[in-house]
Amino acid sequence: MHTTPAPFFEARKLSFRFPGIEGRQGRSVLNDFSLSLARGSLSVLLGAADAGKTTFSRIAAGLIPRFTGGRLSGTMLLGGRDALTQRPYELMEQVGVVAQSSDEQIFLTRCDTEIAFALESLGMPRSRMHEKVHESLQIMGLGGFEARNPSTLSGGEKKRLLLACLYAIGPELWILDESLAELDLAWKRRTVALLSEIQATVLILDSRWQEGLIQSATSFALLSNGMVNASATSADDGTFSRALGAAGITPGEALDPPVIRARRHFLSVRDLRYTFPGTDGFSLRIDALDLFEGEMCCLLGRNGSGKSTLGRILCGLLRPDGGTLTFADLGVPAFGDALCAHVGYLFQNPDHQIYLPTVREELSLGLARQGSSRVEIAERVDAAAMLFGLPDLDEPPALMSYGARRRLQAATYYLLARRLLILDEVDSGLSYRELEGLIAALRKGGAGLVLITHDMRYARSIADRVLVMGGGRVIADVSRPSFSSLESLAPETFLP
Amino acid sequence: MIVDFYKTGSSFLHRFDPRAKLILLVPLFACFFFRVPPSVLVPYCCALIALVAATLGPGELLSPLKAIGPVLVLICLLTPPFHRTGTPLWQVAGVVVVTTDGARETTLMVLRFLGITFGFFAVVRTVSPEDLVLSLRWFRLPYGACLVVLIALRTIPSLVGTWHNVQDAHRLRSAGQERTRKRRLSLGAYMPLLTSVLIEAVKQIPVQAMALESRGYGRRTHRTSFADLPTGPRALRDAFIALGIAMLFVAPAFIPW
Repeated sequence: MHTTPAPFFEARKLSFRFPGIEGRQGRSVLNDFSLSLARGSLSVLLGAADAGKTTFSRIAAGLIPRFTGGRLSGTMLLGGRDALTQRPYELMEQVGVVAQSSDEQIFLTRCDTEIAFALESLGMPRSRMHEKVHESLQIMGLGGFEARNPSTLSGGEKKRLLLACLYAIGPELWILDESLAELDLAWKRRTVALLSEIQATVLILDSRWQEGLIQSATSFALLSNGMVNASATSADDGTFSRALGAAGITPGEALDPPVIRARRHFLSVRDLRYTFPGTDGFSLRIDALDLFEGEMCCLLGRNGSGKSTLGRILCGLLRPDGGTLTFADLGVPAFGDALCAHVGYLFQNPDHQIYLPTVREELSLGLARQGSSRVEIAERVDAAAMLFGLPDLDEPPALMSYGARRRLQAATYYLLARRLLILDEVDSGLSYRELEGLIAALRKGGAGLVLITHDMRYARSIADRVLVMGGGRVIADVSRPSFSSLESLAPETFLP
Repeated sequence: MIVDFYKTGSSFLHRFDPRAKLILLVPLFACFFFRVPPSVLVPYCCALIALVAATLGPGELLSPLKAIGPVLVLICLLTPPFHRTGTPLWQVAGVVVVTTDGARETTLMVLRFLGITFGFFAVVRTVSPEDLVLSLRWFRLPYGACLVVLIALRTIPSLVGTWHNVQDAHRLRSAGQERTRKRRLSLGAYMPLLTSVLIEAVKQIPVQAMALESRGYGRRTHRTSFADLPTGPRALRDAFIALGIAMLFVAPAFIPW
């Protein structure tokens, strides 16, 4: 008689609600969420930004509700044993999570000790620990980074360091929360290949369907409204694909075809030089680059190629060692606050730019500082809230979903009417629908947009122009309709 | 950007046994509090400043000087009026401003501040947080307490990083808006920054706790150690050097001045 093996991981009717504050009821995240994973399987759980993926991963690791409070019900079995009553350190050999925000998990000052911390907790002998740390760093392409301070790593490198930490521990269940988003395509592919090889159960949480990457998975599920609404065992399942499309997890077919809009020369960069401190001499060098208002530009490149550094120089947050940035229409050099006044920069982490108690105060701040009247502020804030899908102006941002916080971050810059906006990997953690909505809303302001991203397919579909960086240089600058030439210009960077 | 106390390097001071460096802090602090003439402390102070310049680079002298600069100015202004004995050195309209005793006390205080600051700075800048924890564990401090030191050493620079991050965020939003110099320098102008940093810092507490427990903090298993402190002849050599330096530090206490 054939019997189906019991799943290694099983969540049954999990429901969770965050605690409320200021008389408001806490957000309900999971509602009768059920999921089972076979031992050794590679599964993908897809869902929009506020679907509850991160909450689920933290519940699985024993972190929620222990550190957050809130009401949790249902059961969760790991290898047939109840996992909800165990503390995180008791679960560390069973469940390992790579968090969406790397900075949440990195707390030491060297890459090798960051990996070794968990091994020390496990009581591993020193010689074995050294082997493990070395092997983990090598396998994630961080050989030679032993003594490097993790705070000096790029976003993708930090993700690889956290993957190396997990590899060293070797838990039975790996949960990767948007861990592929910040990796360049080469590393996405290597990571998925590694995950297919390791003897562990793997669950990838993602807000977007990454074409050509996660097809090797053995099961797929769609999380929406706090529960699994669709599932499939093949990437080609038509019903499942339609469910993904309806949830905005795949790129929208109704997306406006990119049109080269009227653009005005805004900023000229010449002979730019910058040496990043603490990175063994990594330097940025841009000989000539022109940026335009009204243009949709995508900036791509491998992890650590200097994309964010260039972005921070363009908006005046970093002062270059040499070279000039000039406002094209004014013909005057631009630096520091003069650049900040015209160029906005949306940080990778929206929480670094949102501080005030309510959405209304957050949106009003910039306008009030610009000297707008109360009536004008109210009108413009209402209009922006409508445009960016922020209906409750009295809602505390801390209680809002990640997607809503991202929209709030974008809306504050929309209201400031900057001429150029740099969006530093704002696509990370957002579904295609959320991203398309965000970009469409920002484009209504007429600003030029520079989207730093690793999603080449999406960049080609939306951009007027694609810039590719490698080793601190712009190695390709291609405008529509010549995107096909990218493959020959920068094949090693990320192209399939 | 997180700024660390520790500066990576391979100088003699970097390679010197961290336990010995920590122990040396005790006679160093004691030395600057002995009742000795200022002229005795001058060579010690100069030696420490020279040590910092030689091992960390002359540029490193600026940051401790900037930090204690205002205190040194206050010492120079406030110490002389409280020491009226001795020969008058400077009089204004018949009023004695500085006496020999006042000048002596002021010099002594300045030398103490300089010596202790540069001595502490030389140690903190050359002992990595990981080595510091290993040393504290070697001194039999419980692991939990060592971890508190480690997290504090990581958190304080992190808060500096958060401050810069928040400052950048506010700068991006408020650039282009006219503000007077008075407004820019007022405490009120810093309130949004301080509030934002405080919120960020509070948010970090559960996040840090989650990270630590996920990596096994709290397990009952015997904790092993990835790195090790110097052993054998090297440790012995450093111990002897430290003993020699410690004797130099305490020697002034046994000389009648």
